[in-house]
Amino acid sequence: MKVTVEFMGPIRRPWPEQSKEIELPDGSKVSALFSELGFTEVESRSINVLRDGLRLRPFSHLIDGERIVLMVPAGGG
Amino acid sequence: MSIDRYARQRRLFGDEGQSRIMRSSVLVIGAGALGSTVSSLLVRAGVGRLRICDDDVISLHNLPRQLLYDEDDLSDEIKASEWFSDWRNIGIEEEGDIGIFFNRLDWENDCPVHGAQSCKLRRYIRKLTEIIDEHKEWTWDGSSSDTTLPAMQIPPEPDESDELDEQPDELTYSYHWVERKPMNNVSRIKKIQIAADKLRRMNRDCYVEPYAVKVSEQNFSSLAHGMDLIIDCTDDLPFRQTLNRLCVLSGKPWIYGGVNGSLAMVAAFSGSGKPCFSCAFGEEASKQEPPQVLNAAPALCASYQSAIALKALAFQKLESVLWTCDPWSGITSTVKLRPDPDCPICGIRKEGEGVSP
Ligand SMILES: [Zn+2]
Ligand SMILES: [Zn+2]
Repeated sequence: MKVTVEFMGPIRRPWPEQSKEIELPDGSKVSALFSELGFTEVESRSINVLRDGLRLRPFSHLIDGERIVLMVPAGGG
Repeated sequence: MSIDRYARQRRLFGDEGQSRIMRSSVLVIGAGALGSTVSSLLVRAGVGRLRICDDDVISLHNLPRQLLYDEDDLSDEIKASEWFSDWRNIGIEEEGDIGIFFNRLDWENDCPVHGAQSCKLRRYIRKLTEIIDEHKEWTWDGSSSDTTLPAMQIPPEPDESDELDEQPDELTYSYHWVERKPMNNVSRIKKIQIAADKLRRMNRDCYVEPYAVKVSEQNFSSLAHGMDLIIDCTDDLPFRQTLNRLCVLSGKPWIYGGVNGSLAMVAAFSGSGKPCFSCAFGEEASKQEPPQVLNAAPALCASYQSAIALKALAFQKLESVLWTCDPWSGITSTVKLRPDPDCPICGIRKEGEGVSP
């Protein structure tokens, strides 16, 4: 399956592009995406994954062809 | 003919919209980088009542980002605390860590760091360092709190005339501020007093209410009472979680703003409480280290917060949108947020009301 990943906020980006399509095994969950992108367990906990503005959980299944946003809030002010 | 200061805005908001803005009350939490710009823009736009809270004091390192404050605000404060009352704390670093400071640098009453940009003062400081070189016993290594130095002969300041056409001489010394502990029994001026003074000068029609307090669960309901909109201008994530919970419970709309590096992030949450901050950000937000910040980032963030605040006040519509912009990379993105049916914060009310999910 293919998922397009977009980044928002002060998140460690594994590539310079704003978004990228990545290949995952069929039926992958959000947690699989985290490991595919090389995020550690601790990092993953602070990353919010949004599908069309709705937050997914680590156990949520991804949908083939969808576009999701990986987002970390900015804390400074 | 009467003069209308809001003529340009009326074209955007309409008379009714401008009147709504002028009847509105806004609570701004924090008077730092975000709060400076948010409060200035709202007061200038004609908000009727602005309540602003911050219990901090002004520091030198606030000046690059916090646009309500300037060097004049520092002078009273920092003369009395962070450095010596008569600029005695200018240090001259020579071959390492030994700071030499002189007793009195009364140079046009100006801030030496500022003045040192000119070749005039550079040369002057160099002249002083030569004098100090001859008095090595005055060397101060930072260990003693005794600041009394023997009197020394300060040369007259150089002519104004030779300032412009000369290149600065090569500097043999670098100089820096010597950090000093605040002096005793001097109360430091709260940032919020200065903020209120400046805001009142911007628009006499706005009722500015400064509170030198840190907003907490204990004082939230009295501070939020009567407020139409709350704008988050704080700098820690756990507080935003608390604020979110309090706003959901009290049905107050609020606008989150945060910065990191060159990035600005804003999200708005309506009085319905759905979606809420936790719907989008979860509840894991841990305290972040103070990030590196480009001063344009909070100005950008606060401008966006103010824009959607004014739109919300004028047209009574606040969309739940998450927006980020990073002028450094040129990336801007927007996501329309949706209520999370499993959110433990905005879901509580739903369960309490006995509505099945
Ligand atoms: Zn100066
Ligand atoms: Zn929620």
